[in-house]
Amino acid sequence: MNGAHLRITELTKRFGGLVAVNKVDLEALPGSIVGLIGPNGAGKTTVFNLISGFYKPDEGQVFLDGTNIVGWPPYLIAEKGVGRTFQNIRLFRGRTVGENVKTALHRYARYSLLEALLYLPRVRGAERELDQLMCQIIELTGLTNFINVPAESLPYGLRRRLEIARALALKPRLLLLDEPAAGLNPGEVIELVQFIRSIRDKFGLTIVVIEHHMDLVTSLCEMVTVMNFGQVIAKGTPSEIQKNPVVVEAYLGKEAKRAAN
Amino acid sequence: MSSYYEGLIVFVCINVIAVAGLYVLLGATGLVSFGQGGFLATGAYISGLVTTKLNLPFYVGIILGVLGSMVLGIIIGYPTLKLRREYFALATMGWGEAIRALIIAFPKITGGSVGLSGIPQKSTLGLTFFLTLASLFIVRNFLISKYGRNANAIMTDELAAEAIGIHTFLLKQEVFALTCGLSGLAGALLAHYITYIDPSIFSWTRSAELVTIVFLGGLGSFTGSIVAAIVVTILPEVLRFAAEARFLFYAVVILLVIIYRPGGIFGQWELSWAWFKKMWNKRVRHTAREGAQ
Repeated sequence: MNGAHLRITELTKRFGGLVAVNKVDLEALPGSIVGLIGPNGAGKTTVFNLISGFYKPDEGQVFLDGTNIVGWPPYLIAEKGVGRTFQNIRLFRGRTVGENVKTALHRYARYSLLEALLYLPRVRGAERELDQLMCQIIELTGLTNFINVPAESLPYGLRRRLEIARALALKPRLLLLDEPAAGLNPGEVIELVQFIRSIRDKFGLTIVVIEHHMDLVTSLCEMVTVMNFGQVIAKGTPSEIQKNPVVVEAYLGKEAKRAAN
Repeated sequence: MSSYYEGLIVFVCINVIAVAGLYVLLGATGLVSFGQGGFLATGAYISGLVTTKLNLPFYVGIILGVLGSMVLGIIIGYPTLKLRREYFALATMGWGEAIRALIIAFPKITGGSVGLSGIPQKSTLGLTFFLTLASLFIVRNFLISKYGRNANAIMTDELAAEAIGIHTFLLKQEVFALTCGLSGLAGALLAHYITYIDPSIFSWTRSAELVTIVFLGGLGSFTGSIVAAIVVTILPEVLRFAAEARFLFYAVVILLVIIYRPGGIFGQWELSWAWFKKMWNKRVRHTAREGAQ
């Protein structure tokens, strides 16, 4: 499986008078891990919602391997190979870890509604195959011990991991992670970095990460795009970004910059 | 079996079919419809008219009643399922009443508010019971398939459902068509049992009763809804001696459930063979122990 090539050009989204995303350009090469950082309210999550089709942009294009996916409904974009997680973890409550992943595998169950209603042998076969696929993904993400545990009773860090597992069930070529390290302790953050890198290596997929933790960004991302007030203010490798005065100003304010000098 | 008990079982079966259908929409997908009375009416009137005015056989009437209800569900569902859940509930209530108003508005065809009589009595106990089992089988199959899982995903988190590639609108349409089809079947069987139908039988109170039954049984429990459907149909008969006071009793039961079991009597719990076996084994062990002592 190969990672997708994501290219966003001049993406703009307005909410009334507020320009949430203003002419944003972003590129993620196949198989790379790209960071999208910036202060709160910079418009990072809006960019994700525009890529995955939850919002329609006012201007601009989103190219996935050269195909313009702007204006597509979310389910089609997901089918095209874009998986995502949410900032405020959205699991299917009341379902077990296994069921959460199995639900996301629905595309691999090839039977029609009529066949399902009559419970033909084909349905049983497809469901068994689905169970196997589900077990593979659960094992790969290290959740085997929790397979029959209700999703909402998982510890916080594992809930994040389950959400990634559910996104992986789509066999995505592009994975969008919205603040995967939010609420994790330093130990869990190190584990998460290794986990994200391992799934990238295994599937060769392209990953875009929104993050606040600078240490996670520096250790994980090959390229970083910095946003502030809906605009891209800097691009570069993590070490370039950390030295960039515009970025330091956006994060810490002018005073801090003066103090640093 | 006396015709009284036979009639009671037929009524129970008809309600079970309608409730099983509504469970797909309400219990599995989380969408409330206050208009199923209108779809019962659609099935009943189509089948009634086809058999009385066109003199076609009864099974043709039933099939056309189910299909007609489904088609109407798809037509009404297309604009209304795009609405938010609360507005969908309101819109279905409106459509349910609109169907009734249409029946009253064309008395030359439907008999208007006077009703339609002389419908052949063909819903025998055996046939109704068989169709009830078939309906339960179909709904259960839906619930355990990918369609049931996807519906559940829509109920718990529609945004996440879309993010994993579920075509939520299409699935809602399929669910609503299935629900309306089963409502149509229940209506058609009712028409061919009581032989006389008029629009007042299918008012919104009927729709509300079906919704109440699913809530009573528990939103996450299919078997709970079925048990509730049986109990709620039989209860007024058992309480017949209490005359009008039975409605008071009915209201008290519902209030108690709302207060003490807000998730419904069964909640998320499902009756299953495994549970019966466990209970049976416990009893056997218990009696064995008593015997040993």
